[in-house]
Amino acid sequence: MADEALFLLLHNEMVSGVYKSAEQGEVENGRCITKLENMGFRVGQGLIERFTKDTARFKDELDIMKFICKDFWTTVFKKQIDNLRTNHQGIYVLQDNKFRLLTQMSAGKQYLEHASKYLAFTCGLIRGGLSNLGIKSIVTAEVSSMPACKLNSHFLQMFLVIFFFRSSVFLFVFVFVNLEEIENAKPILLLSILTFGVVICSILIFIFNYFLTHNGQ
Amino acid sequence: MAVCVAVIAKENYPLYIRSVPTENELKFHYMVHTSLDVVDEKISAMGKALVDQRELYLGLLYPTEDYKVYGYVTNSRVKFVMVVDSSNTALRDNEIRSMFRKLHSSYTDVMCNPFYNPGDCIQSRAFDSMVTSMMIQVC
Repeated sequence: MADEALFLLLHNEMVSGVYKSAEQGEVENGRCITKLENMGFRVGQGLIERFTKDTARFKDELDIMKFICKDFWTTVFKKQIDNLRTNHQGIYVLQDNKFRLLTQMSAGKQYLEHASKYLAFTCGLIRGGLSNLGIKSIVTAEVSSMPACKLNSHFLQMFLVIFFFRSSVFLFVFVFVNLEEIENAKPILLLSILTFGVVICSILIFIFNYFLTHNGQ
Repeated sequence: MAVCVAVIAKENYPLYIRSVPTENELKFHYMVHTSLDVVDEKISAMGKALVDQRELYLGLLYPTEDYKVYGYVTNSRVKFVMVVDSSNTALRDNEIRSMFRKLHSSYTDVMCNPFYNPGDCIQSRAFDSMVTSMMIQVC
């Protein structure tokens, strides 16, 4: 990667460039995020091809994630991921306590709403890298301003939650993660209530049928 | 030395294939196609194997009467297959390995080219000339 300051500046310009072009074309916010993510996807594909050139073959998913946390992150952001958690069923949570692209604006909660556009590129970067290594994934990022220490420094904390495509686990955890901030999660709340309703209805119908057939005998 | 060089994508379709006696091209296509089974076998066996056997270079895939077929798989599951004339006994395993290394770094350059779409056929001139140099070197 180029000098870190250059990368930061380029990234900032990229984000504002995409948003400016959207203002003229009147495209909504989601489109810009997608655009940035797709840019990251292509870059990630190229980068992972280059980085894994001299490494040994990976054993499994966890091995790949470790590579992303250590080597990949160090090359791109000059530091390692601080915390990697997994449930060993395809969900990985990467936590970076001092995410380089956000440190310039980490003065509390003031810019929290703008953080998502500075994360889209990185999400794409990881998704592209993983897809090139043969893993289809969904990468989402979450920022919660957290007073890591009670001094006057507030770090923006970044969570990257990676969902691999395993449908049963997928819905569950998505609901679980998003319920923490209920105002933003109303559609998902509705969806989960709906699914629960459907499940309960089908169970009831099943029991009903069971009794009917057995009474018939 | 190399008579045929092929790059095969993750989903097992050819990204690039070139052979030197052009009149007999189909034969080499068959040969590369057949080698894919051996490649798959080697990769799946490698998952269970010892830790230090996880090299990208797969070694000799299979010999035929006139040719030897060598394989190499990158971490992104792109396969390189090289067919070599078996009359050329001077060619060592190490040289084949370094040829694959060169091929891989050249492929990486193609991948990092912003004008190249991942998954398309390789039409890069730099890659082409690299392969040519690898083929002429021997003949």
